[in-house]
Amino acid sequence: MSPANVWTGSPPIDWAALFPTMVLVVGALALLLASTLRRLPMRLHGVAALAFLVLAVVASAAGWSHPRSAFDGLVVVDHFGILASAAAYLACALTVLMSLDYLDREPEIPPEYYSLLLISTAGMGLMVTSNSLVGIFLGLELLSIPLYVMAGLVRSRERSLEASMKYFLLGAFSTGFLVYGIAFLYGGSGSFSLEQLVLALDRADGQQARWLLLGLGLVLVGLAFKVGAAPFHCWVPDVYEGSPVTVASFMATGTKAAAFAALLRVMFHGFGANALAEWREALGVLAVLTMVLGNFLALGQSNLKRLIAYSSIAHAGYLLIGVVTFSTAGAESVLFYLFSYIFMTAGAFSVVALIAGTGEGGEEVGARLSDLAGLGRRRPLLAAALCLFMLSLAGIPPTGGFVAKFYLFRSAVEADLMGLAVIGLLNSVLGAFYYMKVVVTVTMRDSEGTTPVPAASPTLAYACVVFSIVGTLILGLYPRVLTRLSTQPLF
Amino acid sequence: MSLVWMLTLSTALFTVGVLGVLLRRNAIVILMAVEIMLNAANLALIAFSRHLGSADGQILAFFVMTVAAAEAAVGLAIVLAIFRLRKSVNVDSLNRMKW
Amino acid sequence: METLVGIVAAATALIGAIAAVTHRNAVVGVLFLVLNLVSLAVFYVLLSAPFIAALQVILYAGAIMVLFLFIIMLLDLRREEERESGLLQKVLSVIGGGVFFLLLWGAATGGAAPAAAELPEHFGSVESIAVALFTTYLIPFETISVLLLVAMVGAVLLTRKGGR
Repeated sequence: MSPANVWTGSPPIDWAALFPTMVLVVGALALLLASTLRRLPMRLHGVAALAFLVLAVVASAAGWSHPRSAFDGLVVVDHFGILASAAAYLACALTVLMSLDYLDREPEIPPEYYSLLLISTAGMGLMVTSNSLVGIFLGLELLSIPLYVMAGLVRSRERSLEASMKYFLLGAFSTGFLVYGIAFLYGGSGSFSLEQLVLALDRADGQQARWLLLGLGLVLVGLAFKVGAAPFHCWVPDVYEGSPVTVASFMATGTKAAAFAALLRVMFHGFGANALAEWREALGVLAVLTMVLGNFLALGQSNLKRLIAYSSIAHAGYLLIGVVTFSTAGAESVLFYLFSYIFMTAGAFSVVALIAGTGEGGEEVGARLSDLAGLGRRRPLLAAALCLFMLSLAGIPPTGGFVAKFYLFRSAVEADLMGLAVIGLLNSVLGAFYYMKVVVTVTMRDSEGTTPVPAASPTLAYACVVFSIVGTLILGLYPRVLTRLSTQPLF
Repeated sequence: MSLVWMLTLSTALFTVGVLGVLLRRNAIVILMAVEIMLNAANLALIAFSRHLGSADGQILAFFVMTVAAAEAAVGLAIVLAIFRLRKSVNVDSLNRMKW
Repeated sequence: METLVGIVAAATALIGAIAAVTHRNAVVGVLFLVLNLVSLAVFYVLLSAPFIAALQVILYAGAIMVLFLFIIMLLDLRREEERESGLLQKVLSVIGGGVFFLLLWGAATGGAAPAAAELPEHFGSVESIAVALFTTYLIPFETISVLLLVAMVGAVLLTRKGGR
C-alpha cells in the first residue's frame, strides 16, 4: 500500500501502465550517471539506449490484451496509444542507430545526448497515451525541452544555436496557445479529461459552447505549430537545416508522430461525433494550405535537409486529411502513414548523416544537392538507398509511401471528402517533381564537386539505412503486418 | 470579481503577449512576452477554477508555473550560448537563416 | 473594497505587461513584468487561490525574474539595439492587436456565463492542493520533476565551457 491509498483510499497504483515511461526515464538517468564516467565510449551509450528502447516496446506491448485506463485517464493503455508510442519508439531507435556513427564525426556533441533523446521519447509516449489534457500538455513539454537543447548541441556552429533559439521561441509561443486553449476547454467542460469533454459538448449551450469552440481552436493552433502545418510552418526549414542531422531526423519523425497522435486523440476521443463543424472545416483548409505551400516551396530548394523539411510540411498536410475524415479508417490510415513516413524520412536523413560532416570553418557540408551530384558513381549502394526513400516519399509503388497515400486518400473518399482527396492526389504529383530532382542529381550528373566521403564507415553506420529500407519495402509489399493490428477497436 | 472581468483582463494580457512575441526582436523580451501569455492562461485557469468550484484549474496553474521555470532556464541558457558566439541576442541578426 | 483592489490590480497588471514588452531597456522591462506578476497574485488571492498566489510571488516574481535579471546584467543587454519600426507598422500592429483582442474577448465573454458554483471547504488551501498533487495528479507531478531535471541538464550542456 502506498501512502496515497492510506490518505484517500484511491485505487492502487497501476504500475504496469507506467512501465514504458519508467523504463525510458530510468534508462535516461542511468545514462546520465554513466556520462560522468568519461572513459566510456559513446557507442556504448547508444547501444544501451537501444536496449532501453527495446525494453520499453516490450513493456508497452504487454498491455495489448488488457486495454484499460489508469490514474483517472492520465495514462491509458489502448491499441491506439500502444501503436502511436511504438511509432515514437521506432523514430527514437532509428535516430540512435544513425547517431552511433554520426556522433564520432561531431565531436562536440556530449554523451548526455542519448539521455535527452530517451527523455524526449518518454515525453512522446506520455503524450500519446494520455486521455487528459494535463498529460498531453506535460508530455509535449517533456518531449520539447530536450529537443530545444539537442538542436543547439553543436555550440560552435552558429546555425545550430540559431536553430535551437528559433525552435525554442516558437515552441514556447505555441505552448502559450496550447495552455490558453486548455484553460478554455476546462472552463467549458469543468475537467481536463477528454471523456468529460465529450459529455460537456452534448449539454453545452451558449457561453460554455463558445468556450469549448475557442479552446479547441487555440489547442489546434498549438498543435499545428508542433506538426509544422501552414501557416505555422515557417520555423521548420531553418530548424531542420541548422540542427545536427540526427536531431533534425528525430524532430521530423518522432515529434510529428507524437503530435499527430495527440491531435487524433483530442479530435476523435475528446470531440467524437460532435466534432465542431467549424473547426473541422478549418482543418480541411489548413490541410490544403499545408500541402500546397510545402510542395511549392520544396521545388526551389538546393539543400537536401531543407528539401526534406519542406517535404515534411507537405506530408503534414496529407496527414491532416486523415484527421479531417473523423473516421476510424482515417485514424488507422494516419497511423499507417506515420509508420511509413518515419521509415522513409529517417532513411533519407540517415543517408545525409552518412555523407554530411563538418567542413572547413566548422560549417556543415555534404547536404547540398550539388554535393550529391554523381553520388551514384562513387557510392552506388548509398545512392540507390536514397533514391528508394525519395520514391517512397513521392508515393510510388512498391514502397510504403504509396500504400500509405492509398489508404489515406481512400479513407478521405469514404468520408465524402472527394475534394480533399483530389487535391491531395494532385499535390503528390507536384511533389514527385522535386523528389525526382534528387534522384536525377544522384544518378545522372557526373561528379565535379568535392563530396566528403565519410572516413572508414563501419557496418554499424549503415544499420539505420538498411533498417529503413526494409521497413519501407515491407510496408509497401506486405502492408498487412501493420493493418491487421488495427482490426480491433483503436481507442 | 466576476468571471467576465477576469476573462477580459486575461484576454487583454494574452493579446499583449502575442503582440510582444510577434513584434519585438530581442530574444529576452520575446521570452518575457511568452511569460505574459502563460500568465494570462493561468489567470483564466484560476478564474474558471473559482467559478466551477473545482481545484483542478489551480493544479494546472501550478504545473504551468513549473513549466515556465523550466522553459526560462533552457531559453536563457540558449541566449547565453548565442551571446558568447556572437555578442548579440537579437533575432533579427539571426538572418543567416531567414526568419 | 474588493472591487477597488481588483480595479487597481487590473490596471497595474495591464500597465506592467504593456510596459514589459514595449520598454527599450530590458532591465526596466523585467521590473514591469514583476509588477504584472505581483498584481496577478492579488487576483489569485481574491479568487480563493492563496497557495498559487504565494507561489506566484516566490517562484515567478522571485526566482524566475531574478534569473532574467541575472542574464541581462551578466550579458549587459540593457540597451540591445532594436530596429526602429515605422509609424505605419506601429499603427498596423495596434489595429491587428485590437482585432485579435476583440475576437478573443468576444468568444470568451460574449454570452451569459453560468452561475458560479458553491466553494467546498478549504478550497485552494495548501492542504487540498497537496492532497490532489499526491493522489490524482501524482503522475504529472513526477513528470514535472523529470522535466525540471532535464531542463537543468540541458542548461548546463548549453553553457558549460569546453567540449565533451
